[in-house]
Formats: sequence, C-alpha cells, structure tokens
Amino acid sequence: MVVDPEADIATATLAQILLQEGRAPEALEYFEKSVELARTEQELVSSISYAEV
Amino acid sequence: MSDWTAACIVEEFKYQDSTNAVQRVLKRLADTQAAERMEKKPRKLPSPNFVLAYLSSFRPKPWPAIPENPSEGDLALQEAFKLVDEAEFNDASDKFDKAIELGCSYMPLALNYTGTFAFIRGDPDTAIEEFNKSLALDEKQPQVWAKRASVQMEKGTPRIFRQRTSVTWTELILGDRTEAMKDFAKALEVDPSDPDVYYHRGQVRFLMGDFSDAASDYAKSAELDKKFVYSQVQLGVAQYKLGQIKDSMVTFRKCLKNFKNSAEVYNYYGEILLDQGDFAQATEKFETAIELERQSASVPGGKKVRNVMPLVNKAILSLQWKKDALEAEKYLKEALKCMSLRICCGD
Repeated sequence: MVVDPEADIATATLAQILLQEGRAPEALEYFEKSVELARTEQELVSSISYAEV
Repeated sequence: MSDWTAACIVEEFKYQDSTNAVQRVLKRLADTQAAERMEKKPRKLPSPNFVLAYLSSFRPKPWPAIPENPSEGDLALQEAFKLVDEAEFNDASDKFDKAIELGCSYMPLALNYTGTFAFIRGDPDTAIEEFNKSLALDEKQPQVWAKRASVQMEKGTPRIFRQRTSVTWTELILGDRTEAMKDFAKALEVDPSDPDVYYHRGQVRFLMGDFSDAASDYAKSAELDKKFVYSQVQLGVAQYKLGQIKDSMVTFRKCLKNFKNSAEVYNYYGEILLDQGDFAQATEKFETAIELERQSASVPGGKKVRNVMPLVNKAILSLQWKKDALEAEKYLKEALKCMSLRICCGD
C-alpha cells in the first residue's frame, strides 16, 4: 500500500503544535504545506479543511 | 465561512446549529477547492524518502545487464537504473518513459517501474495500464502482479478506513479487495515461494484489519527469506494487534538480535512500547533508530535518503510524555528538512 505517513504526520503535527502555541502564521504555512503534499483528492479535502479552520 | 465561525465565537460554541453550519460550509468549500486543485496539480512524486520506502518493501534485485551494443532505449534504461540507485526518482521516471518510448531490451521491467511511479504519484489508473502492458509482455512477474494487487486496493468503490499502525492514524481509501486477492493468487501461481508476495498480501490484509491472516503471510514471508527485515517486523506488529503481546515481544527481541543495525526494527519496536505506555524504553529505541539512520546516511556510499519516521515518533513521544512542544518542533523540523534536502545529519 502506498501511504506517505511521514510527510503527512510531520507537517500536520507541526502545524497543530504551532497553532497551540499561538504561532498562527507559521502554523498556516505548515497547513498549506500539507495541502501541497496531498496526493489524492481525499487527502486534499482533509488538508484544506485544516488549513481553512 | 467567516460569518458562521464568527457566530460560533459570539455564541461561545454553545449552539449546535451554528457549529454544524460551519462544518457544512467547510466541507463544501474543501470539496470544491480539492476538486479544483486536483485538476491543476502536477502529478509529482512524494519525497524520495517515501519512494525509497516503497521500493525497499520489495527485496533488492540486481539490475539486468545492458547489452554490449545498446540501443538508444537501452541507454535511457541504463540511466534510469543509475538514477534509481541515486534516489533521483523524478529523473528516473522520465528516463523509464523515454526507454519505453524508444523501445528497450527490458520492456516488462521498464513498464513495471513506470507503473510503480504512477502508483506512488497517486494515479492508480495509469499504474494499472502500465502493469497490464508489462504483464502482457511477460506474465511471469510475481512482483508486478503483487503491485497490481496493491493498486486494486486504491480503485473500485473507495471506502475510507482509519488505520492505526501503532501510534499513528492514517486515513486510507481502500477499494477492491477481491480483485487484489485474485492478483496475489496469480503472483503465487507464478512463484509460490516469493517472499515479497506474501509480505505484500500481508500488508493488504493488515490494512483491512485482518491481522490473523496478515500474521500468517508475514510469517510465511519471513520463513522464505530470513534476511527480509520487513516481514519479521510486521509479524511482530500483527501479533501485537492480535493481543499476542508475549509473542510480539519475542518476535521483536529476535529481530533486534538478527538485525542489529536496522533502524526499522528499533523504530517499530519503539512504536509498540510507546503504545504500551513504556515511554522510557520507547525513547531509547527511537533514539537508537535516529542514530542508526544518521550513521547510514553519513557514510560514503551509504543510504541516499533517511527514514524519518523515528524522528516523527520521537516528536510525538516528546509531546505525549513530556508535553515538550519545543522539542517536538525540533524533531519534526529535522524530519521535514531531511525530506526536502534528501540527506541531512541533524544538528
């Protein structure tokens, strides 16, 4: 099976940590990165949802 | 979107109607944007770390010899082989395309690789086409059948599964299991003793939550090739999922003995220990895995790309155990740096 957990988890976790620390602009940068990394439409939907929230 | 979110904030998220409205608008917005972006998105390969991880899930085989008087297609193929060895996968993919276009001495193999790269890019339709062409030229390729089986899982009627490997959740869209199993059967018809095929069938079964059959497949694969680390590590994980904790620990300890320098073993063992709440032991295992990966990437002729999963796991552990966001951030940034710069030895 092809899944790319490293990139997904690293960017998503980092974005969430930064958001919790109140570093929203940096967090957004990583949320955007996870949108770039998404390979399938379903992955894109979840990445965009996080980036929009 | 902003209006509904503002309403939620004013109402302090007390009213379900507004919260639901935000979810609804967000879903619609994300769906539309995803469809638009998908159309424009160039089909790029993911990080070399990831491509290498997939390629390594098949045991290494030497490249076939290029003929003494090579055609232009053969030369392109030779370059493609070299680029794969150097972990330059986007360029390798172009060279395989070129070799096929010009015609070369090993068309089934070249098509195997173009199909593989299409699969990794998230383009299962093209992957299946390429594998079909490869199999039409030579159907005695268990690896191609096994790969086509995995692709079948991304096609068909997609259903979303949330899969917990051990510490991490991954969302998977799984498709046609019946077709996948037929392809695995074909692969085993060609070679009933191919360790790769059992390992990959195990992977599909594991992802479907069928841990018992997955464990049998991993065990069979390990029995056929005792040097293949992945089947043994995954056997330990499957046993753990089945609640056979003692067996799982025995499997991992055996792995530690037999594969002393394998970062994979330390990483997966660490994940299991983390899941059991043994933070101290898990830390030790992740740190060893990180160190082994650093070493293997730093020696001349060593690994071209690093497996960054131990770094990600160490970060998760820092958060869970010590609530140390700064340390987690440091490890995650190192992981991302390794993925974008290919080689990085950390600070």
